[in-house]
Amino acid sequence: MKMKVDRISNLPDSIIEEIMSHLSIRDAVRTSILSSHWRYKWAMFSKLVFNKSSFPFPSQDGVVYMNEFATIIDHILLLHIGPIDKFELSYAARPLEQSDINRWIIHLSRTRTSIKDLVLDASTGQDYILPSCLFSCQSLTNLVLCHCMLKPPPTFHGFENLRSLKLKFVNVAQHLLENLISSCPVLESLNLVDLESSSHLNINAKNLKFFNIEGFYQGISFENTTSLAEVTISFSFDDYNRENHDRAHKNSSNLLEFFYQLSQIRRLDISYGFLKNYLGVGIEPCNLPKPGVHLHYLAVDINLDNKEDCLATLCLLSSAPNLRELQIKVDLDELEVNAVGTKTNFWEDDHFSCLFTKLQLVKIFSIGDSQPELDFIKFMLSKSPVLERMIVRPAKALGLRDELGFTKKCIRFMRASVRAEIIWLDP
Amino acid sequence: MSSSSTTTTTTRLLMLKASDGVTFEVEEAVATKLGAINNMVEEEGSEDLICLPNVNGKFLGMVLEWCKKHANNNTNSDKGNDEVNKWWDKEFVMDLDQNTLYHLLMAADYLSGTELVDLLTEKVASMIRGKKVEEIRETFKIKSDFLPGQEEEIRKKNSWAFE
Repeated sequence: MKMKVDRISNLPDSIIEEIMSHLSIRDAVRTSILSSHWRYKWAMFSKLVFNKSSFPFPSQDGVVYMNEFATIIDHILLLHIGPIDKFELSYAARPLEQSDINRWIIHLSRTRTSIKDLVLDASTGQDYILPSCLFSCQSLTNLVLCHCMLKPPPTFHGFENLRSLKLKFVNVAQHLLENLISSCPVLESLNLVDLESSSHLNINAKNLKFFNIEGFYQGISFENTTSLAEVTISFSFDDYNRENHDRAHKNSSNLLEFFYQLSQIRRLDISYGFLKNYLGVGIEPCNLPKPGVHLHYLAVDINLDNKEDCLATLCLLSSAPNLRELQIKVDLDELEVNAVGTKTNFWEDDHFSCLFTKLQLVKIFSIGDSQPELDFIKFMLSKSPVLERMIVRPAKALGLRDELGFTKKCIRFMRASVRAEIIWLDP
Repeated sequence: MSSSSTTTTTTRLLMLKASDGVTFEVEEAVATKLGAINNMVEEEGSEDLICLPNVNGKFLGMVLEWCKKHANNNTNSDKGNDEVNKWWDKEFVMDLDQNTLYHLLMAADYLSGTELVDLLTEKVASMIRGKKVEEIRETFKIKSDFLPGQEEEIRKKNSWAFE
């Protein structure tokens, strides 16, 4: 039986608003010509998202549409009714006028029912300085800024409701950045990607739980970060190594300090040079205290042919008595370059006489078929009494003969855990 | 599902009475998935019989069926539960006719079942998404009451949305 009655038009506005929130702007605006009843319903739309999928332009005539783009957003903001919870502008394909973006931010910061979620990822062509009124949006809980310059006014005292902050390709003076982070009292998630002009960064955020950082830095330190549970660090270094060496020799190892500052850390993921050039600097094979008691997941990039790398990894492992999962990505390029490195088996020396009593899963990726890699596998198998799985994936196809040779050697290794299985994946 | 033996506390049972007099006996943990009922239960000295004069028995039954599934799936805190819920939600809205969809939405909204409203409004949105205006009118039996030329004028103003 077909329905003859128009039910949807009789739904209360609160529900229509919910329906609109599931639609893209384009679909929402289209409802304006359903009937006179629907003429302005779309304007209750509370999440204004202008990105490629919600606001698609036909590929041809793209330039013409770009010129209209600002007019359309103006039009939408003018007709909009009710709160704007979210404003997202992710349209980096073509440059937008800075004055246009300024106008929208000013509008959003004035709207009485205040904005919670602001995402600005527009290409402005050059360094675009955000208008200072942005810093008065105290209702913000999520802020994402890309390709711009941050200069908070002197009167800025933090975003009191901000929970999540992401900055990508942002130009901000180091002290301003540190100040911004420390003055957001409920900040839980911080994501810093390829910032300009930062050297040694100090993170001070007492409620921070998740932290991700990528880019070039000389180092990092943490203050009052007692809630920090998940950390991902992908650092690259230029010539700062020497300086770190000097610093580290003055006050024990960076590794110890790192764990001391991150007492609650549960997941740690580090790649590129952070281990070798920062954490590992100044490490001496000695009996470390066990500071990382909550650490249960660790992922590192290491060059198994480099003694400092191995030592730093071993220190990390022996500092984390409750580690359950370990993921190793072998730094293969360097392995080939330094093929004539340490010929002795680093792992046999057993510098710390450690035993990984909780480790259940080990993943080793991008492995070649050299002796240091075999030695490492042997070491992990012999030191992990409750290991359930070791998953190995070679960097490239080794060829049937080499692969067989490698696996034959692996089969012979003593396993501390009777339940341990080795899973050999295809590259 | 039978209550597991590990929980020793006896779950409180509520009687929900729909507009047509049909009653449902449900566990408190199930009914409180609905914000409105949760508020009533939290009041001190609340009675076990709750009258819901704005909801018909047929639709109240469906709302409670949804609540039951979600309450059960949430108790065993396994990772796969999100998947199970999603799959079940998909089944739930799959073949709803518009009349049922409308009444369910009204019932869910009245009972402050936020998650269910979200699921149902997404279902409505999926019937609008990417469709031509004529198709949407046809789907929902909406009659255009614009004067000749008026519609064309609005179309022109927002031409970017009608490409």
